[in-house]
Amino acid sequence: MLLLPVWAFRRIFESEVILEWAADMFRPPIFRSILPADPVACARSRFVSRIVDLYIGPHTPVLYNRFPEAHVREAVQNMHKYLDLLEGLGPDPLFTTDRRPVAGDLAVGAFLIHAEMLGQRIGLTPFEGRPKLRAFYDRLLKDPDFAKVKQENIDAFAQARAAAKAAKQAKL
Amino acid sequence: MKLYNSDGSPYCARVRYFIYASTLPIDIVPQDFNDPAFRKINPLKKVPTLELDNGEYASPAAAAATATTRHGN
Repeated sequence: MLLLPVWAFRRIFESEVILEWAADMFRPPIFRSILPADPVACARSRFVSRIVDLYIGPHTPVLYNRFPEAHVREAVQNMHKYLDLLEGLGPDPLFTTDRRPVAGDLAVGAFLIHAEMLGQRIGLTPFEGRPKLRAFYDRLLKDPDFAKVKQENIDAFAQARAAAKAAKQAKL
Repeated sequence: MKLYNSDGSPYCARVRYFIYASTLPIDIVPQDFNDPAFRKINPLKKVPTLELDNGEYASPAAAAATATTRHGN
């Protein structure tokens, strides 16, 4: 049985829950709005977040670890299916707002960073035949905070690769 | 407040983005989620995890009042 002790109430888990807590607690500019003001755009942002969390996220371990070929193929097919769904949803150039990125945009954007960086090995091609998704990602990259986050991800993986290589050489 | 973070996690990336775009003071600390000691912080061994400072159980309304006072609008 997994127990969450009393002190757990001093800690908040899960990215969207953390963001929602901060947005409930603090007004802009102390904490940036995570959802659009328009209720329809707001629902759209939440929907997009759920697509990523519930339907794409469970398949992403194949990006980071080795799995049997059939498992990888099925995972990639599923991710392509939901990328197609996102492409169909996307009013060019942003999915969930016409002003600045909100939570749904970041859910998709963060996944695309990893898909672009690690997808080639397993045949995951997030932008092939998906011009709206490409335009969305390109626009996100013009946001300096998103560009910073992307670079941090790239650096983290470069460091992890270097550490793994060094560990392998040390064994020889 | 402290955010246990991994720069290589897409879930942490979402949270860091909004922290960078805001002025809320949150310490971002690197955390290896495979570290067994992290289980004491989050039994699910997942990042991101946000740890609140003592006394931060204020209601959202109280926090909003604080925010208004701090920024004067």
